[in-house]
Amino acid sequence: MKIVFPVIFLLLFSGCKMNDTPLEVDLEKKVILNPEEGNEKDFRFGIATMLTPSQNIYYYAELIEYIGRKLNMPASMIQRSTYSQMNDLIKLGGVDIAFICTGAYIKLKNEIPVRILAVPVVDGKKTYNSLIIVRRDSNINSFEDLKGKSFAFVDSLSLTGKIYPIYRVLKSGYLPEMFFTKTIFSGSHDSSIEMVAQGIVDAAGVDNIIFKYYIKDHPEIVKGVRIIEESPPFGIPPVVMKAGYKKPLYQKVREILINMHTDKEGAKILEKLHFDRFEPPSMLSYKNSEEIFKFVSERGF
Amino acid sequence: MKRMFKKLQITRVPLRWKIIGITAGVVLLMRLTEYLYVHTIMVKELETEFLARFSGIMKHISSSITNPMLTENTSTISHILKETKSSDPDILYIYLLKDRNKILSHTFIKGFPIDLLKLSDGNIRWKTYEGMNYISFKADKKKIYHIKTALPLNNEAELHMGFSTDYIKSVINQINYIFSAITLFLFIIAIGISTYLSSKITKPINEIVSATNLVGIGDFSQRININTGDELETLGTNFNRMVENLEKSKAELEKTFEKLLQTEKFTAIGTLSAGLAHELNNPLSGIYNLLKILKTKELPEEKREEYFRVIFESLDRVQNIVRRLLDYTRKEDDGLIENINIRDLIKNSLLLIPSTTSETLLHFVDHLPPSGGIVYGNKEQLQEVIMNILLNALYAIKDKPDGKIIIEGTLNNGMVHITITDNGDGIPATIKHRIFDPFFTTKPAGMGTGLGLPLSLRIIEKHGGELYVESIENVGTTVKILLPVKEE
Repeated sequence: MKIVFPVIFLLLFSGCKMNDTPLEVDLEKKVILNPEEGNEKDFRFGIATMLTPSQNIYYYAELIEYIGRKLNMPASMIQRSTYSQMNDLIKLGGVDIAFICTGAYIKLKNEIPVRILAVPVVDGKKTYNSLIIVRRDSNINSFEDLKGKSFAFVDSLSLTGKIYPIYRVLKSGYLPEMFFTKTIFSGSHDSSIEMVAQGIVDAAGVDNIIFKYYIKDHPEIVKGVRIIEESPPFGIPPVVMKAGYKKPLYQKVREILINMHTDKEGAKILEKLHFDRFEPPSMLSYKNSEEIFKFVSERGF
Repeated sequence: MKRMFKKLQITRVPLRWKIIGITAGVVLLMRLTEYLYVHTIMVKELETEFLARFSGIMKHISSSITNPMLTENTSTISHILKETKSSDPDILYIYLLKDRNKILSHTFIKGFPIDLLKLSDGNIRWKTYEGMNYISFKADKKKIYHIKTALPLNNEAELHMGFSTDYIKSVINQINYIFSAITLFLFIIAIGISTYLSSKITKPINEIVSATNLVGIGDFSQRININTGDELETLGTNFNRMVENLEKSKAELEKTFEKLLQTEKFTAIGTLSAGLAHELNNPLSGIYNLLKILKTKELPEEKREEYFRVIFESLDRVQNIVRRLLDYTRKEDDGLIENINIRDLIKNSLLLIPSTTSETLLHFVDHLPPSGGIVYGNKEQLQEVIMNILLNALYAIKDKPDGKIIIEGTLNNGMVHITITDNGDGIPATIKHRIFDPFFTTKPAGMGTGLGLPLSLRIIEKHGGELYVESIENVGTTVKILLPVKEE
C-alpha cells in the first residue's frame, strides 16, 4: 500500500516521453555550399517569358527535348524573368540558342551581332500582330477610348506588349504617363490576358499567336475579353544565336528545326505550338518593327 | 484480488481507509486514462493537424516558387523562403534541393547543415501524407518533423521543410497541467467526500463492533442507537433484539442453575439421610433412656446432674446436626459473596459426614496456613462442591473394607489447593471423557442426578479456579480443586 500510491503518482504526474525516433541529425555543423555549376556540355535553349515560365514549360519543353534528342545530347530549357535578362544571358553565353520576342531581338541586334537560325511560320505567315484587348463588357471601343484607363504592358522589350501600344499613344499626340492613369508590367502575355479578363486592368497589348493558344486552350478566359485593335504585321519572333558562337551547333539546330515538320514527332510538337513549320529567315522583314522600336526608344521609352 | 490484498497486508486496514483508498484509486485511474488518451490519441491528432498545416504551407511555397525556379530567380525564391519561415515560429528551416545533394536555396544562417543531406540518401523510410513525404528525427534532443515535396515542373528539385514539435509539446503540457489540476481538485474533493461518507458508514459499524465486544465478555446491558434509516439501522435493531434475548436466556439459565443446585443438594441429603438418621437416633435414644431413668428412679443428686449434663450435651449435638443440615439445605441467598476460610469450610463439610464413617475413613491433612486460606466467593456453593466430591468418594469406597479418603489442603503460588483422594474403584477409561457431561451418572437410579461434577466445575470456574479429575481404574481417584487466594 505504501509503495503503490507513490508509484501511481509518479506515473501520472510525470511527463514521461513517448515516440522515440532513432534518427539523429546534427543541425549545428554547417558548411558553405558552392553555387550550382551549369553543365557546359548541355544544350541550353533559352525561352523568353512571352508566356509565364510554367506555361512555357507546357508549350516548349517537348520542342527542346526533341532538339536534344536529335542532337544526341542533354538539353535544358533556360528561362529568365524578363526579356532583357534573357538577352544578357545570350550575350554572356549562358544559353546556346534562344527563342526571343521580336522587340528583344531588335534590342539585341543593336548591341551585338546576332544570327537568326529559323523562324516559325504561323498560319502560312512569318508575321504576327499586337492585339489591343479590353474586357468584353467594357465601354472601350477604340484605342482613343483608353485615355484615362489602366493598361498592362508585358515586358519592357515586348514589341506587341509594350512598344507598339506606347507607339500608338505617342502617335496620338500623348505621353503615355498622361494617357494612361496606371500602367503595370504583367511579365507575360498570358498574364496580361488574364488581368484584363479579371478586370485588374482595363486593357493590354498582347501577341496574337499567344492569344490563339488561349482561344484553344483557355476559351473561358478568352470569352471575357474583346479585341479593339490589331496592329499591322510585324516580323515574327525568331530563334537566335550569338553570331560566331558554337558554329557547328548553329548548323545542326537549324537543320533540325527546319526539317521538324517532316517527321511525325516533330509535326506533333509544331501542332501544339500552332506553328506550321520552321523556316529560314529569308524574305523576312523586321523593318517596321525596327522603326517603331527606334521611334519609341528615342522618346525615352 | 483477495490474494493481492493479503500480499499487500491490507486485510487489517479499517473499512474507512479502504473506502477512501478505493475512491482515491478510482480518481487516479481516471487520471491514468486521461494520460494515456493525451499521449496516444491526442498526440497523434495534433501531429496530423500539424502535418496538414505544414503540408498546406509547403503547397503554397511550391506554387509560389514554381515560376521563380523556372527563371532561376534565386533572389525571389530566397525571399519567399525567408518570408515563409519568419511567418511561422514553428518552421525551423526550409531549403530547396536538386539532384539529392545540390542546395539551391535555404534559410539557414552561416551555411547549410551538411548532416541534413543524409535524409536524401535513399535509406530513409519516409511516411506519406497527402502526396508529401515526412519523417521525424532528433536534433539536439529535440524532435523535429521534416516534410518534403517534389516541385511541379521541376521534377529533380525538392522542397524541404523542418518544423519543431514545441507547439505540440506545449499543448500536451498545458492539457496535462489542466488535467493534473482537475485530478488534484477531484482527488481532494473525493477524499473529503469519501472521508465524510465512510465515517458516516463506519461510525455505526464501530458502535456495533464495540457493543459486540462487550457482549462477548458477558455485558448484556449493551444497546446501540443507529438512526441511519438503512440496513445499518436494521442491523442495530436486530442486534438490540438479539442482546435482549440473550440477556433473558442468561437470566433463565441462571434460575435453572439455582434449581439444579437445590435439586443436587436434596439428592445429597438423601444420600446422607441414613447416616444422619443414625446420628440423630443415637443421642435421641440416649436422651430417651436417660429421661426414662430420671422419671422412674430416685437417683442421687450427682447422678441426676450428670444425666442432665449428658442429656443437654446430646441435645446440643442434635441441635448442631439439625442446624448444619439446615445451613446446607438453605437456598442460596442470592449469591452472597464473602471471605471464606477454606479450613473451616472443609471441617464443616466433614461434620456433615456421619461420624462413624468420618472417623475411620476420612483424613484431613492440613497444610493450610494458620489463617486457613481465605478465598473470596459463595460459601454455600463451594461447600456444595466439596460435599459432592466427598460423597462421590464415599460412594467409591463403600464396598471396600480398607477404603480411605484423604483430604489435603495446601497453599501454593497464591492458590488454595484442595485435593480429595480415594482408593476406590476409579473411573473406567471408557467413560472418563463423559464425567463432566450433565445427567451422566453411574449410580443407580435415585442415587445420583448426574449433575454433581458439571455443577461443581461450573462453580469453581465461576470463582476463577480450576477443577481436575485424575483417576486410575481399580487404584483410585484424585479430584484437585484450585482456588485463588483473596489478595490482601
